[in-house]
Amino acid sequence: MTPLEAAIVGVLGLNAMVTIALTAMGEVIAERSGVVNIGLEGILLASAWLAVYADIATGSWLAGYLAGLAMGAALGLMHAAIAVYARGDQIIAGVGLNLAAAGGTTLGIRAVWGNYGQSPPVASRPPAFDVLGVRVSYMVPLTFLVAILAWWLLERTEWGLRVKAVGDDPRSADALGISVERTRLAATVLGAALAGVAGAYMSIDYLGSFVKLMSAGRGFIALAAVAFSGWDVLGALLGSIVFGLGDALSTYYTTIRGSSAAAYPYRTIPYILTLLAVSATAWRARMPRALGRPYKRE
Amino acid sequence: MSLRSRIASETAIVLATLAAGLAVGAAVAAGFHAPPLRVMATMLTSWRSLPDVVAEYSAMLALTGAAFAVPVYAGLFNIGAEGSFQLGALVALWAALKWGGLAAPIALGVAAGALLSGLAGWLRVRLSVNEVLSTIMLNWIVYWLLLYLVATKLEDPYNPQRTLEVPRSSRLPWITIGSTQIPSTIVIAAAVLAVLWVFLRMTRWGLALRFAGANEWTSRTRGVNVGLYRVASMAVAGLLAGLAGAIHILGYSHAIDVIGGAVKGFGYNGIGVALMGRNDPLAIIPAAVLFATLLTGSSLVEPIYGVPKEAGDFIVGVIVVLLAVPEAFRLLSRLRRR
Repeated sequence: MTPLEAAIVGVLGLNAMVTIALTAMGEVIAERSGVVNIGLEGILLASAWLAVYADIATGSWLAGYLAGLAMGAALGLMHAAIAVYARGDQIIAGVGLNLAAAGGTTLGIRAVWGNYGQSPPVASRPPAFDVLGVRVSYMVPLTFLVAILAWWLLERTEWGLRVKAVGDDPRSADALGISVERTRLAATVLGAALAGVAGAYMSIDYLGSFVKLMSAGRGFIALAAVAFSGWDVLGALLGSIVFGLGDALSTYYTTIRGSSAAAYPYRTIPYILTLLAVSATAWRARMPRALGRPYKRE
Repeated sequence: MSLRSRIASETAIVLATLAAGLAVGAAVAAGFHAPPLRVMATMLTSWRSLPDVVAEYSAMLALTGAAFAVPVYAGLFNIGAEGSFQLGALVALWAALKWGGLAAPIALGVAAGALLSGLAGWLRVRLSVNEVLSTIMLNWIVYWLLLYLVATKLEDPYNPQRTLEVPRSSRLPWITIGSTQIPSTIVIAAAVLAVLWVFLRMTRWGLALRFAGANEWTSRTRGVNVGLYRVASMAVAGLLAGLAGAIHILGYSHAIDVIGGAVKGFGYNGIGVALMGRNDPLAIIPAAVLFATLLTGSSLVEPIYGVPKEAGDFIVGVIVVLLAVPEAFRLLSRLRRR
């Protein structure tokens, strides 16, 4: 790999990072409040689909992004209703969401665009700039901004303190007068809305169309990034940069060697790194203590 | 709550969820301008035209459903049947190509599934790594390795769209009933689930396993090694899913395609089957047949009514989401009693 190729791979990596980073940072916020959502893959797909639909229908990429955001928030609301208010099982709800979204969006391709595999190109693609001949979305710098905002929100505001309190010790938080339900609802919806924006980015911005099952595991890579980061927004951003680079490297090998199979083993790296990371004691200690557990006032 | 009223309420939950799922299916059909009732009727009677497919899917989903159910008894959530299934299929295919016969491919496929899932159990017990996270990670590691090997080492040079086929000596026989033929995997699955049911209900280990999950602290004070039972429950789960993968490749699909379609989804759909069967090895069987009928049926309605086969996946997804909400159902029954 020449230095120029390496630089190009780096730029491609930043583009690939956005989807993973926004999703992972959103999930950090939700999980810090105690709600785990393994349906991220499903949220990415559903919002990516709706974003393309809205973009083509209105001819505006902004409408596409807003539609993705709305879809993410709506599915987050559904997840929170099940996880927080109905005290259902969060893991099962997430598994179901993934299954339903995989089937539902493929139905959606057929229903709206009349074929089995993909949408036409979007009517309006968000503006972008050029680095080394590669299209770079404004979402790349924006993702770093979101990271700073999310960090500030969790670490420097009272709301962030409340989120962490209900995620670690909901009983004490409740005793202090914090509404466990409302805080978890807000964190879950906010997290899912970020995943919705990530889904919209993936379809209307990164690729320019919707393709069947296009998320290809990125929701799970984001889930890995959350654990890899030790439930920390900036750590999740760092993990997403690493995993995004891995994504770009696979693409590079696919193009150079002309075979995508050669790159497949590299795709396991995020999962292996995450397994190693969470096996270290220091990492697990950072997991929100009430993660995945519904709260019921005695 | 008495046993009878508990069974009644569980049955009500399952039936209500199923009804909602079928209603969603009918709505999807209507959305595609197809007659909803006829579409659903075709879907639910798919065993009439495709008995072999329904039998095979039932067998697979019953085994992967059990792979989710068993660790639940020990208090664990195994999302890894997908990975164990695929690894079992991959190893069985490899062994069949190398040595032929049935013994080695089945034994190695089962062992591989058990080891993979057992690893997640061990990580949980020894290092407190959450088993949901570890099994998801392992699923994806297996998935990419599978796709890699399918497209490289195991590739059929004359048909690069799939792997080499399982040799004749390694294929499980089919059973002829009247004029229809079905794969013998269904017999294996039924026998394994019956053994599992007896094991869980009537043996010391089975009772200890269930007790360890339900009363961890009490079990510990009675000298039960809860950790050991947890690892064992995960290993058994991997064994069941690995067996499913192995007999699927030896008895039915004989090869894996480049996108892994032949071995995809059985693990995740098995979770729905286990939930619907309320984790009981015997009740899982009708749940598996139902899911298999729906999923097979959705491929049938496509050519007839133009409703895409993904309608089946969508229905299953909706059913699983609804099954995640036990509290809501309890709330409903409380309101009704008032």
